[in-house]
Amino acid sequence: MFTVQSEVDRTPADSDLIEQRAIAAVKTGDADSYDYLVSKYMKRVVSIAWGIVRNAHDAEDLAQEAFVKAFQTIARFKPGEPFGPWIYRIVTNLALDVIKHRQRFRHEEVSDALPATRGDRADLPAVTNELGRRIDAAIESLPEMQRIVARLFLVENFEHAEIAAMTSLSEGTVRSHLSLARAKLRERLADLYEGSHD
Amino acid sequence: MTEDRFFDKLREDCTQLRYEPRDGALWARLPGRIRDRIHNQPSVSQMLARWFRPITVAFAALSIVAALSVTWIEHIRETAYAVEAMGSNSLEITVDGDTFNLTAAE
Repeated sequence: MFTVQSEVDRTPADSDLIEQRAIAAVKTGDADSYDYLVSKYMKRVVSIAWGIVRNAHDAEDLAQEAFVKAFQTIARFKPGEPFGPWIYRIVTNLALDVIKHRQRFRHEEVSDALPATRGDRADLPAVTNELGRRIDAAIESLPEMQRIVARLFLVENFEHAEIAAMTSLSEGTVRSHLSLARAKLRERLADLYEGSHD
Repeated sequence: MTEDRFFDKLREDCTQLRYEPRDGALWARLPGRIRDRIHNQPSVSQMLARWFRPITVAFAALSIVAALSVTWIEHIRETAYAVEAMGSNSLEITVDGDTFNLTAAE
């Protein structure tokens, strides 16, 4: 079994090396070494999934599914590549499939039905202040792809190219979604940010 | 405030929106669930069985339906032959010395 060191004692270079060793071990059939990759990436993976589907149970199931899928196809994983972008792309695609499925289901419902909510606001324990709640509500009010791209950029701190790779959109489309989202967010959060000159 | 400055500031404020589950047990439960799944990967024979089982069931159902259909058609055909045979042969009945001849009406 692959030994898992404490994250605190580890430099980024150490972490990359350990990650590559874990991937190599998993490829040779040592399934226990996969624990290291799961523990390193699970929080981010769950957060990405939750940001898209906005439901705690779905996010947990999607994270599980993404890790299992990555494990099953790890033989195809290129040596030397970081595991993060790969697992983030898998979970994003799975979460986008859930969103598409929900939209299709919503279309099939009778037209006078109430619009389904995106998720459970009770799943948002981190947001304890008014500012956080206002920003979250403003992001949630954006059209679907603008919301997803804005969330990956603003909350998850991914760059344009990373978001493009995760969502299978072109970088130009990502920039376009972000530009539209920025204009809408600036308008909706004007009272919070326009007075500030810093 | 410029558009870029606004977005940078917003990005800073958004760090608090990262998901932190109320259910803290999630971080212990999730690796366990993943471990269970990857350690219970189906073998090749189980994978094949998973594919072939529904196909076998479908074939069995088709065979039953075909057998029942053939039996039913045979039964209908036999009934038709009996009526035809009765119709094509006349029947003679003798009562008190008088002979009556029964033939099928056209």
